[in-house]
Amino acid sequence: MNKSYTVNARILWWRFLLMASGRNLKRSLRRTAISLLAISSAVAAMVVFQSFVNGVKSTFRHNVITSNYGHYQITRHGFRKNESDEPFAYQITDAAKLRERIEKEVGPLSFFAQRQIFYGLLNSNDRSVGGVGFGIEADEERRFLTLVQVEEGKHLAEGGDLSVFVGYKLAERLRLKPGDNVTALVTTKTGSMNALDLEMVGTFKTGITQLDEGSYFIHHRMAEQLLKVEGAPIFMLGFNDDDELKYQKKLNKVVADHDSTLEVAHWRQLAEFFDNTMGWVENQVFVFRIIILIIATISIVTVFMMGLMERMGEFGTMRAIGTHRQSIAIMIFFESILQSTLGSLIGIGTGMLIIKGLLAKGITMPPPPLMSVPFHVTFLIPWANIPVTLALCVLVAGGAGVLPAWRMARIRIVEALGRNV
Amino acid sequence: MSEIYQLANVSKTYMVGKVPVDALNGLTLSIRKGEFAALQGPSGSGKSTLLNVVGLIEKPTGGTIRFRDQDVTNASEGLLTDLRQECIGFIFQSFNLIPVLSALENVEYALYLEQKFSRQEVHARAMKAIQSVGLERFAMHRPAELSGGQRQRVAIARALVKEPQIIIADEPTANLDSKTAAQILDLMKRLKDELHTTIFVATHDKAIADMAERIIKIKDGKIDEE
Ligand SMILES: Nc1ncnc2c1ncn2[C@@H]1O[C@H](COP(=O)(O)OP(=O)(O)OP(=O)(O)O)[C@@H](O)[C@H]1O
Ligand SMILES: [Mg+2]
Repeated sequence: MNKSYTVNARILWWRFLLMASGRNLKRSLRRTAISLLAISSAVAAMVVFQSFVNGVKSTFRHNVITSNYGHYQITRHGFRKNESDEPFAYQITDAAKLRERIEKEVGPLSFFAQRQIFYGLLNSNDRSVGGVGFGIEADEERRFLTLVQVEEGKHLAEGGDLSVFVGYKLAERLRLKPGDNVTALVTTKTGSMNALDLEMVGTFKTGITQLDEGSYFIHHRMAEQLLKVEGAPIFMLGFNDDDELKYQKKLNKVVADHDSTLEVAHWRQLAEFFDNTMGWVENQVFVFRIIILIIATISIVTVFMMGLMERMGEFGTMRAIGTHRQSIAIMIFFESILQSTLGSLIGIGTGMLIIKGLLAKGITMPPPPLMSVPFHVTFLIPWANIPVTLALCVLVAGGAGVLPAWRMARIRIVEALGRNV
Repeated sequence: MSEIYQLANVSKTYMVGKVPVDALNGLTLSIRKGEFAALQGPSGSGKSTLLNVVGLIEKPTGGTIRFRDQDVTNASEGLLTDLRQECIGFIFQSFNLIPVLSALENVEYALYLEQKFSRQEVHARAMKAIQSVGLERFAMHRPAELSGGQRQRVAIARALVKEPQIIIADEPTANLDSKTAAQILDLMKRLKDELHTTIFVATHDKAIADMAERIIKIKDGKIDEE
């Protein structure tokens, strides 16, 4: 048995066999169509779902940034840890200069605002309630942040110097109506008491109980006077586009260079819930993917196996006239890979069509908890995920052919021949 | 040396549930090179089983088989496959063509399988075989587009194209009418006369038996008479 195989003749044989594979797929068009449908629907579902998740992530991200965080916040080292012990020890005073440097050296800002936080009593109608006061640059913040929505009356930005904007539940407790007078009583930097008569211009609602029940906003410039301080411990900033990560390195450098006692925090460090929530969503996606793949695989294997059983006699003939087991296995495996590649490509195309057609306008959902703006999800083709999805689907669906291929390669020839009637 | 097969005390026992059925029962037989042997026997006597054993697609449960002076009783499936591919041509009762391939391609299959020939050579040899069975006009037809007799002629072309040392045929004319059967018979005769191929055929067909040089009768899995 000294065979003189030539490489060329070997290639010819495989080509011949693979040509037969292609024809087999064409032969049982209906069955192939069912398999393709199973694969492509699974893949399309994965693509659309991925797009949905990406949309949720990007909207959620945008909403978190624009609710109350900005892209970055600048504070002095130690502020977030020790602020309650020494409330006024972390003031940053040169806002204008820092802003100018960032805009010049890092990138265009859409907002830059100082925030003072203080504790004090609000007095009105013989009632007094303690709360957290914020001294804010209302115009700046309102351009970018959405968390604070007017419930009654008007926004602090529209009120004069001596205005106060109060959480709606706090207002209820103080029985305040817009236009009422209220006195803020605080401890100043030097330890003395100070008071300021203010006019309540409106109430706000954030959905965050802590804020709605116990906080109020005054103009930053008035907070400086009231507390006898200069500047603010927190600078919030937002860039013109939502791709803020590209600025991070430069921003860190410029801020450190400007004043080495300053530090920059990215919004994700401040909004820890974001990562937790997204982690939860990713887990759901993972489970969803596995389920889809399992269902698709089961249906593909079933349909595929049915087709092979019908061709059992044929395999018996091939084996009898001298076709090796591995040839049979490879031929079947090739059919399954061909089918899964085709199905996956169709599925990706279908997914894209659904995204570009049916879902082009995106979907709008009511505001989620702790958010005050409707949740709009935009569907984009998840280009970054498509190669992995494609590879995964081709592998899983194609791999589903391994077991049937192996089984058909090991049929008993005589038994299989008996199927040829 | 002039014997292509030597079967000694070959038995084949199938288990039907827990009941053993002896399809071959201590059968001893030699087949000489170039002879045309017809196998006859009542239904269930073990003809097909014997052909399967001789065709190396079924291993016996006892005894020994020598093929071309080589003991193949315990040969590996890979070696048996190679032997079938190179040395044995099969003709089945139910034709057994591959449905997605044309008549010509069914014949080419046997040659591509051997991985010995160029494309041109494969094509030329297959075409010649198709012509020798008178099917040149139907070369491009798929099996489904051929009559039973035409299909069997394709099967014969597929078997003879590789110039096998032996052709094994199990009731090759049983599914055909007598006129078509006569054509197939003619073909087999030509095979014998022109190519001197060894032919081992199981048949109830008296015409085939008349043509054979040797008639082997089998009964209950044993050689009954010669
Ligand atoms: N796979 C099998 N399992 C169990 N018994 C089998 C099997 N194949 C054959 N037999 C039994 O072996 C015996 C011989 O069968 P075989 O097919 O060789 O007979 P045959 O001579 O070819 O008959 P026929 O002329 O009807 O084709 C029969 O009793 C049959 O029932
Ligand atoms: Mg039989």
